[in-house]
Amino acid sequence: MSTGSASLPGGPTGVSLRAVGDSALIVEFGDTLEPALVARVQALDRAISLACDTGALPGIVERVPTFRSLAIVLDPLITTARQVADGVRPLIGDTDRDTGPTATRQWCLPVRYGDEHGPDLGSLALTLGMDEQEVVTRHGACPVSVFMLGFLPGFAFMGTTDPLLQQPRRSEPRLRVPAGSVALAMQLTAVYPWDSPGGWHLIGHCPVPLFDADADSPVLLGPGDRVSFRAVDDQEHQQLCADRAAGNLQVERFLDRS
Amino acid sequence: MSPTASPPDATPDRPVLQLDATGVLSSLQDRGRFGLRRLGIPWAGTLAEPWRGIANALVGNAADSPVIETFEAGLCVRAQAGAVRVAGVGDLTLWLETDSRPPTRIAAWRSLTLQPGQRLRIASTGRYRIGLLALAGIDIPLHHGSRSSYARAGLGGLDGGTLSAGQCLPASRPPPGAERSVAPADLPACHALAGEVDAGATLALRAVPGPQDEAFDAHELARFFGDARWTISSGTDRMGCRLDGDALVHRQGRGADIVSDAILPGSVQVPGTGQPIVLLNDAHTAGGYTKIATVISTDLMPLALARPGARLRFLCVKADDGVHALRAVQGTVAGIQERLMPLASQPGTETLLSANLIGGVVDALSPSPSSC
Repeated sequence: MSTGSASLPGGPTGVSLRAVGDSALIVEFGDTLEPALVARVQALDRAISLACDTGALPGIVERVPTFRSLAIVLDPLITTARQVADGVRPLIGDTDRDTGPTATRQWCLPVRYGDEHGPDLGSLALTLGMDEQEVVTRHGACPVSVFMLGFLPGFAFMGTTDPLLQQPRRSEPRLRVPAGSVALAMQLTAVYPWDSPGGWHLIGHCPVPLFDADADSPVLLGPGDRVSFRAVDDQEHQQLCADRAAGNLQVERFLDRS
Repeated sequence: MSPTASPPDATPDRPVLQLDATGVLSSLQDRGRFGLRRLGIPWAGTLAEPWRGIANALVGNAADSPVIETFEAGLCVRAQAGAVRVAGVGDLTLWLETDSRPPTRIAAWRSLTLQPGQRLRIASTGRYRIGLLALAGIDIPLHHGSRSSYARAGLGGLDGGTLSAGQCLPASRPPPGAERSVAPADLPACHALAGEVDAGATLALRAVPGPQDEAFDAHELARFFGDARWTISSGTDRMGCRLDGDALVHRQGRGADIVSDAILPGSVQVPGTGQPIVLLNDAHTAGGYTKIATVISTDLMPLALARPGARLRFLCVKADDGVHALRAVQGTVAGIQERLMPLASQPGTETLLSANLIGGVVDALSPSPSSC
């Protein structure tokens, strides 16, 4: 782990704290992508949120949870990285005993798999040695968690996908992936909120907007949300697209309330 | 909208500043949109935050008011339906244009009342890439907590995008009292905020090592913070600044890739090419390249204002040094704001503040500026 001059006294074994520039602190739980680390990052994020609510940690501007670290942005005119580190260090030990959030949003997102909506479904199935239907079934049968957002506003990295579906990214990324594309790469799945470059395998299309500048909450998914995917046919897909174009698509209908 | 038509609901009490031209890129920016990085939404916000504070003070705006941030020459604004008060800050060459009269040279770092139909044009941003223009009473709704434009996601500004010709910014009547200017003795400090660098000199950026400085051996770190010199390449924008120089080499077996973690403005990424990229306000919020260092907050403004071809180096500092620099900048801005002076002229009269003229003479016989 980092040992440069910006290191601060560390936390429990394997967890390091260090100043980043003059306005942030980063707590690093590891340097690999695995669910156990994501869980600890999100547990610390929740613990700090509670501490901020009680006023125990003044001067924190925001926190950015990622796969294996939590970045804490601070106001350097109110506090210092060292003071924040001192306030955060006692919270780290509990993160590997954390049993998860008390309430999690659970989404069920409709996907029209394959054909022109999933141009890589065929080639991916071939690589995996299964037929396209099996890829679709396995994707739909495996609920995932939002590990983090980044790359673009609203882009949620979700996992862990079915081990049998895990493949590296495409060797040649596309210059333009259409917005709504449902994609697979490594042990992750995602829905592109925007037209953008992209190197993941495109297997379907989801008509639910993952970003809406004019909604009360512009980004649909947040770190820690649970997501499952449900295959829809052309008729339902086209109806959903039409509802969205007409401004009639209420995203709450895709929240499970069980 | 034609250049001479007012929006129907504009009145002298609710005048507008119409954009006749926007130059290379103009957008509305305040301090930024905070709290949403976890959703992939960067802060945006002006690249010249200390100047925004001075510009707003010149026109009597609240500290959280957005300003027009403009790159290079070309911004031209026009008062419509009523008088408005504006202030340009930067190393600006400004012209006040009134129909059927020769243009008048106006200094930067002062406020100015534009009568209906009068135009203010930025002919040059001088030694910096960026200039700011404040508008008294600018009335733009908040969008998710900020008025800053982040066009990539349709956030902020007038309509989610950058500014375009023909758009109108709602404003208020000019505030009571005389036009004001920065005290002449404070002008060097205004420029120092942007890293007063003579042509050919090397900009020194103070940076804290890490968070992935361990991806580089001691020799490369010493070189990065020592002899290495970089040139700002042509690929620089509000997202980041690409540097050209002798490629940085990652530690044996340690490559440029990391499992993605958070990126902040000031992060210095080193991809496999070894050519660093310093990330700025509109950069992505997370990324998978090693970050050798993080530039301190105050030193991002000089970087963002420098042009392609500028030379720079990095200096190794501690986080505390960055905090001290930030306090110093805040103190400097507060002092400049306290010492703003009223101008002797009546509101609405064109004024040449000869102490601030950098150069250029108006030829009264010539109907247009000699150079733009």
